[in-house]
Amino acid sequence: MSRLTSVLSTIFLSAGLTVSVPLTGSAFADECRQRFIDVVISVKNADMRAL
Amino acid sequence: MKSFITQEVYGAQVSKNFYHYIDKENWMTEMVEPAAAPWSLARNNVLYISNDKGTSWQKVREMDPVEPADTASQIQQDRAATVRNTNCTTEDLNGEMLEVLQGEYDMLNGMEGSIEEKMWLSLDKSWVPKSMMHLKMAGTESKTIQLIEKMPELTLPMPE
Repeated sequence: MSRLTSVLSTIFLSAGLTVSVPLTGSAFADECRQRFIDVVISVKNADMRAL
Repeated sequence: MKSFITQEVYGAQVSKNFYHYIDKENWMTEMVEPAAAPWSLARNNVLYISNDKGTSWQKVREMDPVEPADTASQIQQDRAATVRNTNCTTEDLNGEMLEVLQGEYDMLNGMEGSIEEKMWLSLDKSWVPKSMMHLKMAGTESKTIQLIEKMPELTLPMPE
């Protein structure tokens, strides 16, 4: 699962259905912090924003 | 790409400019406010300045080589360790749903202060149509907002 979709945690049901539910609490906070570091801090993305 | 950048230094004049960007060695700053401010141009990592709105250019200097962007620098790693107050949401901007990342980190690199950044990303992660940076240092604050357009056919002046 990409970090972009880290807002959602996917639960695979036995019937083959997929349900997305929001992550909450520390799991979401950790994923969000890491996402910010990867995208905003990382020099790899400097060309996208030219800052 | 082409950005419209508004920078406000608190207690001072607001400046506005268009930033034309091909890559890190080729870009141009076209000043809008203050209108009399000089424009700057980088061509193949040589910096030029214009006092007549881009009609003529004077060479200023050759700039330092641009470092490869495949690894995070030490300063970026140090800053990453200070990241706090992060928030991740989605937001509609001009009819397009975007991922929004917000957070704050210490400036470091010999400077005391913090940087708050907010970035609006396309959901396919390929594009950043808007960004905001808020610098907070002792005795001074500034806020920069960048609105970015794709400009695949962008060309820049090439001084003689």
